[in-house]
Amino acid sequence: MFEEFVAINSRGAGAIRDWKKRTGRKVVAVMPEYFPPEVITALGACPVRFRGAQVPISKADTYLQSFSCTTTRTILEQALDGEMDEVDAFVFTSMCDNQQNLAEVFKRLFPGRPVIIFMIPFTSQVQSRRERLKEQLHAAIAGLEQVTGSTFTQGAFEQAKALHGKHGALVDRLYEVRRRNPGAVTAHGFYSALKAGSHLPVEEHTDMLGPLVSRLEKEPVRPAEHRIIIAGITPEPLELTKLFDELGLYIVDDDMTSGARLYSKGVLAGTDAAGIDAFVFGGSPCSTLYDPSKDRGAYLVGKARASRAGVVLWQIKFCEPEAFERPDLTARLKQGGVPVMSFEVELPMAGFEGIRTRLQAFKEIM
Amino acid sequence: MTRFRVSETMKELMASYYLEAKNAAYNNTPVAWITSGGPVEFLYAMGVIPVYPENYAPMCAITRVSKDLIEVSEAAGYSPDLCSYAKTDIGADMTQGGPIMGLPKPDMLIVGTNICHTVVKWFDVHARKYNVPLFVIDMPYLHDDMTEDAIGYVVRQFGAFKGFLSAVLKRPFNEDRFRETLFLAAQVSDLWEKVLSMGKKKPSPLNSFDTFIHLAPIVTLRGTQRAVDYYTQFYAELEELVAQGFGSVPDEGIRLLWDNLPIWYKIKYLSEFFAKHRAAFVVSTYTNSWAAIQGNINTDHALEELARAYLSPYINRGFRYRIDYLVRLIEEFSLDGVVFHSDRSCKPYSIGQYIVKEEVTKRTGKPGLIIEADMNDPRAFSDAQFETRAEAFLEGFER
Repeated sequence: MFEEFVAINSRGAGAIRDWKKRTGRKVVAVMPEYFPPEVITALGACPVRFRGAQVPISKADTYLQSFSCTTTRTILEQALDGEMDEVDAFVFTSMCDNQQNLAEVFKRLFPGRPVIIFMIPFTSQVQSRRERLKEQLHAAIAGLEQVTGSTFTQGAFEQAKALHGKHGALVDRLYEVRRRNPGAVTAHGFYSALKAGSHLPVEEHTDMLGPLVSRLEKEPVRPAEHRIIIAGITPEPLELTKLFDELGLYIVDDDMTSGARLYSKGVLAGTDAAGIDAFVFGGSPCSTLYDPSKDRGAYLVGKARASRAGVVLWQIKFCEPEAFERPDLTARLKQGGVPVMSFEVELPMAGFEGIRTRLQAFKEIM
Repeated sequence: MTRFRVSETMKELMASYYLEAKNAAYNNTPVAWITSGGPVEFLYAMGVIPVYPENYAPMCAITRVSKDLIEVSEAAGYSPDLCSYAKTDIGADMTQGGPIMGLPKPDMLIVGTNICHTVVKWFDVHARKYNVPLFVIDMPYLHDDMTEDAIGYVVRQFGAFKGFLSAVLKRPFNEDRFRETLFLAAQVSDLWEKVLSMGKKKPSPLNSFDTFIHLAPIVTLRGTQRAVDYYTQFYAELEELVAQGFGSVPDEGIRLLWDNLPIWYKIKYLSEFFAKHRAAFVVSTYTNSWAAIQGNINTDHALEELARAYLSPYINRGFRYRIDYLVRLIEEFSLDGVVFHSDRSCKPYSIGQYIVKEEVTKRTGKPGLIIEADMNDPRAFSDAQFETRAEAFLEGFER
């Protein structure tokens, strides 16, 4: 059911390379989240994403210390390996200190390709945050107009919103069908399907998701006793999701920056201050955003209870935003009667035996 | 490290500052915990005592208790990979440990993001524990040049910060005292810059291991007459020492720059090691950061100037600026090389150092050395590894 998505992912940026060859249009990479892709689509370019990958690190070690997170290091490795050769420009967001400095690394190492910065505000002052976001968005649009040679128009923006809205609606249905029938959706299949969207034009990914969702919606409900919500930045290395399938741990939902957190934001409604603020700070809480109006602990307890699920905190080594929240989040989940465990991964890792043992033990206590 | 006459004065000054802070509750004086790059002038204007976890953490390292406190945090679930300042501070707070047995309880928490995003997460831990208001002022990283947009953004937040303080303290913001504080803060930053510029002298009467220690008053007491008096005295002593031809490193032979935070628990060892090799650190990007916080307050646009100043620290700048700045310091301070402390705990300072080092060497011909360590966690430092690398680096100057 998920083979074609797995095939796309196995080719890395191959699909986007084909698309670019076919259309001659520009490719813009969002590094990695919370810049509205609708803007890039409206300018006739294809938004792609690089979130790190299960690749061995060698070349990147020349430029980055081993205490940079492996998301950062594998992204650079991919770039140095030519995986991003089709990318005409990068839009970096300031989700964390690693990403912020990685933008500078890209500017020095790939001087021929523009690096556009979209700074995410960390402030207590909501009005200042909104105005800042608007300034940042408009500056980014101006930069992207130069890259694409196109002018941002309301008409093109409306069309892009419709395309991304249709895509988002399918992703929402995919999440919903998994919530309703987690036994019918493998973890590896689900996240392979989502990941394929990182390297495909939105129309093509939408066309692939449509039949998948329709088919899954018709699947009979299967038993899924041990239900899990995974929480973290991104479910990488993707191979690790297979372990959940093997062990009969059914991922019923997630709290991932590249997953439900991102898709909970919906589509950018407008390029004014309220529109961009609603896009970046709307939706579910995220460890990489400063928004004191949101309580991730309460959110996750509620989500876990509603799904009758335990929570697995999927920590990528050296990820500060997630690691800072772990002690409090763990305590809050336990207080809320939600089983919780955490493990730490590095993206290039291939052996998961230690995690297997811990997940098995977790299954037993659930 | 050099024993200056003012060293005793500084000890007394800092002791009296911490005594005042520890007794704040008895004196009904509000206390704010604030980050090292936070705009302290607003607090002094409102009679709030600023307390710096980033000052207390190194105190714990120098007194050799940081490792134990870090381990307390880790036992509570904080990852070994998190910032060692944060873990020292959280451990000290949990145990009321360290040289002054914990910091006084905060009435509010103030964060400036011009040093990292880590501080937002770190202070949020305290905000949850103490259930006190947290005010975060975004001072965005300048990837390229200073922009009016960025300045305007910080100014708007400064305005809101005044309102926040007024609401928490239930009294109007004291504009008159704020102006006085700005005046004193500008004076003290100017004095600090003059102190640091003494490193240009040959031989240099002070070195970075000295300035790491004498940094404490400008961090904690910026905006007070006490700090102005202290650095006035320090500068006068340095002028005397220059007149006498005094060098802080005897027979100074190699002039170096220190990049990044100090390795606090090894300051004495490093000072002696480099002195033995006649190598003097005459300038450091870290201590220079507080000289950058120097707004021209004699204008009608004091907040704009202050915003510009708080956006300026080296760690808040992109690599192009960093490379140009190091090249300029190499010239101005007649340097022979650069030592980069690759600090496991401080990602925004450290990530990119390999590139900066290569490009600076390419432009100036001056070599660089990377030391892999951590500012506050002694577990990340190996004497043998350091000595092998540093000796090879220093031998290069003797050929």
